Amino acid sequence: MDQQGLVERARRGDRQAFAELVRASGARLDATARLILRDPDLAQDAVQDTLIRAWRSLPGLRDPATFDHWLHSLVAHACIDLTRKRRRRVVELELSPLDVAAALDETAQVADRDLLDRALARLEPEQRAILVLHFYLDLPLPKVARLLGIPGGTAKSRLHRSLGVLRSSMSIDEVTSAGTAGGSIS
Amino acid sequence: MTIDRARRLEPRLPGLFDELADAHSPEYLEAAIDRASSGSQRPAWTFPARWIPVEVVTLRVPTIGVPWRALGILALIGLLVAMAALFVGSRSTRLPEPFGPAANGVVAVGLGGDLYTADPQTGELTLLLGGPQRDEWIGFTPDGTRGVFLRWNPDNGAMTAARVGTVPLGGGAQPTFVQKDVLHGGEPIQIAPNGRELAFSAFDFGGPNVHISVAALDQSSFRTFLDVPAVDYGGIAYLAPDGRELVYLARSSNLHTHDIRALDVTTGKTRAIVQTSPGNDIFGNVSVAPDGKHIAYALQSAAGMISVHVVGTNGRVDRVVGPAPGAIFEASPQWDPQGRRLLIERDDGGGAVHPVIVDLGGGPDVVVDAEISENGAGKAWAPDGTSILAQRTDGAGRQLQQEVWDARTGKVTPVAWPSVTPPSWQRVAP
Repeated sequence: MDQQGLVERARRGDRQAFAELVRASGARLDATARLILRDPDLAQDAVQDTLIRAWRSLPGLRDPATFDHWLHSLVAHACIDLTRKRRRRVVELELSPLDVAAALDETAQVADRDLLDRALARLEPEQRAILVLHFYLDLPLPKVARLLGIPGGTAKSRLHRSLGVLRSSMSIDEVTSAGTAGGSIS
Repeated sequence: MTIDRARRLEPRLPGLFDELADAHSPEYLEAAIDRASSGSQRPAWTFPARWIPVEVVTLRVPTIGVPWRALGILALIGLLVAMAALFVGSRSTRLPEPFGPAANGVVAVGLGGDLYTADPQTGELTLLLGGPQRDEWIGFTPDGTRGVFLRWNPDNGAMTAARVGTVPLGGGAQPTFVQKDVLHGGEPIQIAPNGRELAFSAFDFGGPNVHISVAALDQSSFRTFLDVPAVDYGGIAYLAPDGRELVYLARSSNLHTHDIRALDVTTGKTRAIVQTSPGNDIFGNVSVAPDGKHIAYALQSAAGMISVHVVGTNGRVDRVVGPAPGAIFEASPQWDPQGRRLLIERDDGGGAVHPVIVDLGGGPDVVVDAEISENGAGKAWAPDGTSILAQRTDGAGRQLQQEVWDARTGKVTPVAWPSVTPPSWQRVAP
């Protein structure tokens, strides 16, 4: 059965149809949440919140064709909500040893990925969200704007700014890695 | 050097994100599905758009007693008579009021980094500001005397900033710029009713926080309100009639949602207009009525339904406008110059979003014969309120030819000039 048919069934309370829908999207939902939150446990909470809200509110979804878009919207908002809840807590940064030998063996691709990974950690969740929605979920910026409930110009500005901060963070990371000689902030 | 490396990585971001994501079906998924679907679904009939009769949801709130209205009308008539007497014989110096209806002037046209104006009747273009610089239209001052624009600085390798400036529409004068290069495009900019200042919200370079700044056009002052917790959702807007307050969005104290607040730009004090609770959040922009007494905004419920609200700027009497039967999305409200109608975007349940003009006096809706793609549309009311200048985008994000929407019939007419500019229409004295 196609996705729209499954959505129709799930809207009428068919749990099996809902499970099939979520299994098809689960990996991407989990990955999206991990990228935005950078914490597997929190990501699990966000996905759980997303699924509860999705199941509960499915009867209100008028257009089955928008199911994926709707689910992405729910998981993005769940991630941002969770980070806002945790902002009051003290975040401890752990200085973990860098495996220099391993680092030397890494390919440039892996090094780039790690550089991006560390730079992402320095961004605000809202900044990570717009980068993830745009570059990972491959959503056009106007769609991201509508999904986040912000004007197109604001989305454009936020993406531009997020990329700027990402560049600065990458620069800092390279300098830090070189300067600390054996330690990196994780 | 490292910035260069970061720049080289940007085209590969989608692939790097894919690698970082390492997407695989998580072990907890089946348990999460079971837990989620073990609860009950919210019955379809509990979603407001499905069952609230339109005659109920469009009920108008009782207004204050007649004496005030009558006195207000008399005062307005007296004011108009006084203004007419004052300006007889000096037609060339007449300016429109900073709020409310006005006559239609020229429209903004940006082409190749240069600024033009176009006569909406003939389509004739007039160069306002040309040269090697890259300029981008923002719009016109409320009195219609100056154009407001961004001038982009050369790419500095990290963040490209822009200056905001104004230039007289009469020509012959150099543009003037406000202090500080902090804009990156897309930030909301509002010209004060006094025509001497502008306000904008922007992020400091590399920082996570947005600040509201008020800058004099002649560079005589620049104030930034560092302790105002604004967010870049929804923009900012001056409240009529004196523009002493700015409306903005702020994070709610519950840390989940957003509130609509007002900032007194003379004292820095803020006050709440709309406070939200978890599960209900402001969606998109806030629009201020020309009389400065009401604002319109969209509210998203926990179920994802989005509806338009109108509330007094004193925070009292919040009411829902609509929703139309079956509508699942009503958002992006924009007051008309008369303050009697709202231009909104509506998905009536069929999956297509149309512009709709809603008469707050109870008249029939006017559905514009145009579909707004998921990539949105720029819209600006004509100062006389008879039409709307719009620029839609297609499904691929390409900007389409600007067009005029007739506010009485919904008819769409393409304009005679090319433009890649956010729609903006000059206000002139009637």
